[in-house]
Amino acid sequence: MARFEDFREIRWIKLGNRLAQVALSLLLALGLNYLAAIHFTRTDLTREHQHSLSPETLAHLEEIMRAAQTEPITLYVTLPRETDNKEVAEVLKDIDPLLREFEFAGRKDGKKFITLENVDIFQQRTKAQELRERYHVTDTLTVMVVARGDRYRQISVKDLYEQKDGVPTAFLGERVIASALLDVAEQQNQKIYFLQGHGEMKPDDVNPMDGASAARNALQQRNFTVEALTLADKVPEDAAMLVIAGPQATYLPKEVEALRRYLEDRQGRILALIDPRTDHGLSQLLYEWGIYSDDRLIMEMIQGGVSADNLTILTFADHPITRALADYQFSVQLGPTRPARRDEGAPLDERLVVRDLMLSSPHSWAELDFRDSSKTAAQSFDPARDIQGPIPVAALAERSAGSQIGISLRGGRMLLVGSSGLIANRTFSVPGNQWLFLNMVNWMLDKNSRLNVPPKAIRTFSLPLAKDDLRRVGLYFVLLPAFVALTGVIVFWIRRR
Amino acid sequence: MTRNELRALWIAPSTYVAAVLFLIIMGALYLLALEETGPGHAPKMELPSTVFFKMFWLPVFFMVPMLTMRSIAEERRLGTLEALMTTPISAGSLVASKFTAAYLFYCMLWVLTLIFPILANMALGARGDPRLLDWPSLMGGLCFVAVSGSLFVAIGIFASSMTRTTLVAGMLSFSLLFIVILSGGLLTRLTFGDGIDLPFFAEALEYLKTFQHQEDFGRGIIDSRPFFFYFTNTLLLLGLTTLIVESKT
Repeated sequence: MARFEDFREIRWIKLGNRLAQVALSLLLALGLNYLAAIHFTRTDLTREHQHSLSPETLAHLEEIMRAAQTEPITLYVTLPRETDNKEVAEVLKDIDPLLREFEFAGRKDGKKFITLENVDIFQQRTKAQELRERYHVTDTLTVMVVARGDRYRQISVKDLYEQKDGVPTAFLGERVIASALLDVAEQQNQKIYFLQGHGEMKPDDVNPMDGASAARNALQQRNFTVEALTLADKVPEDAAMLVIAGPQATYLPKEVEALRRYLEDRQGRILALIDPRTDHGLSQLLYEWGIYSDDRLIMEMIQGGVSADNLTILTFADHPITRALADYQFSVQLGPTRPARRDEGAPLDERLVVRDLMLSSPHSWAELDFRDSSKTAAQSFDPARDIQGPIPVAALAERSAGSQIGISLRGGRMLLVGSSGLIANRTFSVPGNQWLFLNMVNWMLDKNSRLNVPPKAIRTFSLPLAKDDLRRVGLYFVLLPAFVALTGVIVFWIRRR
Repeated sequence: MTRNELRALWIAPSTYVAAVLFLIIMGALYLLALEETGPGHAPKMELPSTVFFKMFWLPVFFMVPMLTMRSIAEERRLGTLEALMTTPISAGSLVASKFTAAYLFYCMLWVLTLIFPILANMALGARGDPRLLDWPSLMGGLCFVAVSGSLFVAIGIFASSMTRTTLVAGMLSFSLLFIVILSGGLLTRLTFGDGIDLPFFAEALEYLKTFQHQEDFGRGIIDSRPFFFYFTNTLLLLGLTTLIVESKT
């Protein structure tokens, strides 16, 4: 006991005691915070839960987490954080909170199924290079890459917004990101068959003129399996979609019947790209689907003459497939093109919806006598025989499978483009062509719309303020500090007295 | 004890000077946020009140040190701390009362700023917008200020207990606030060498991002993590302050 009566000893013991207390409380706080970081909850207090993910998205995420036991999904955000670009800053402002919600919803039992990674492509060169090589990120409009193992999907700015006259009107982020997550979480690729046997373009042909290898590569990069198919009696069961790319010979009635059955009985999807000068044998089938494509050649007035070999399309319909092209003012390059439009004379069918997707320029016409050997007849507009532009060059038909208790069920889809030039290797490098083709495929297979998540309207705030208004507000604002100052003076005065 | 502290604040002229300065600056900030939504500027996605609460750090940097730097340092300098500790008052209750008084004053000042949108709406009359008084975003912003304020004020009290000089205490609390508010965001912007991943570290930083907490609150999302972060660390700092006060007397 004598030891503790020595003050110096006691001081040391006290110091040790305090240090132990400090260390223990630091450890306690650290441990508690660690636990809190793993087990946490988030509640959206807004009345309509406007910042939460929709129940449908949550249900899908639940399913993904159940299935994706092994490999987590990574969301790489490739937009630069350090930026003066206002548009980029706005996009980040929209997607950041949303991604946080996805990250939160992607946790289960302390395990993360969805991880976020910000990659500054200007600073992190190695990482950027890796993204380029592994996920083929080259487009400057790419905002993020959703990846799981070798499956990935890029999301571009144009996917995220609905625009009107160049001004974003709605944010589609949740729908697009959830679709991409579903897409990469799938175990199997959807199969797209390129029909063969009538001189069609081949998906493995690297010929710059009429090969379609570039389009095939683009599809494979987006998790589709592409195969060639010679049509027998029946379209294979695993076909998600058929592509008929530039047939040169006629389809036999038996083959047409197989296509008809595929479209009608199995709610099939067919994308047909048919050039002029071909007797394809599909006219009857097109008629049944409300599409008309007469054998004419679209001629366009260009500087110093008339051209039919290179048609530039700049006018697009307001449809999910073509909207982004119109908004971003992209053009599509086609080769020799025939009209493809809604058939006004088609039998009435309330289950069928047909619409034109894009138009040739007003300086074009659809030439009937293009086979005429005399140059003058083929290269001049004849009001009696030819049709004045703009002329629809792509048409889309969608048939609902029927309507039960007020819900219309999805049916087959048929899309006709009046030129195979859309996907030929020589023109596929045109950004507009790639966008259009991939949008067509995505739409045909409901890639972006399979979730029924409503778009979020973008609401802006602005006040019609005049200089006087601001001055008046400023004067009102002075009242508050003045009142506080007055209280202070009164308190001070009372105390002095 | 707390009542005594509050009374001291209520009669001190410096309190009123600080409050008037704070309100003038906040009024100017709100006016600036309003002006940004006027003609000549692109339409904003955010309401003026959201923009206003995003500026929370600016008053925090000067208000919190001013409010707290004197609390314990002054008592130590004047030697009144020793006298206080001879009374039955424990160090814990002394620290708690200093903290409570400063914290209540801090919250009261912020509650006063809610009058700005009301005044703006009154001044603009028919030209105003009902969204100026968007209560969810105002309450969310205020809720964040209240929750985070507990930590900020605790930091100020802690800094004040470290030294006898009020100026040093003020500078110390400013530096600590700077670290707490900005470091989370700044460190995540650093890339630690190309290709080096520090997932655990990144996650810890994510947890400390004050501005992200503010954004969530401002949108009406209540996350348990920031609540826990601010409250546990407030308690930790107050505990440490108590230990320091005990050891110094």
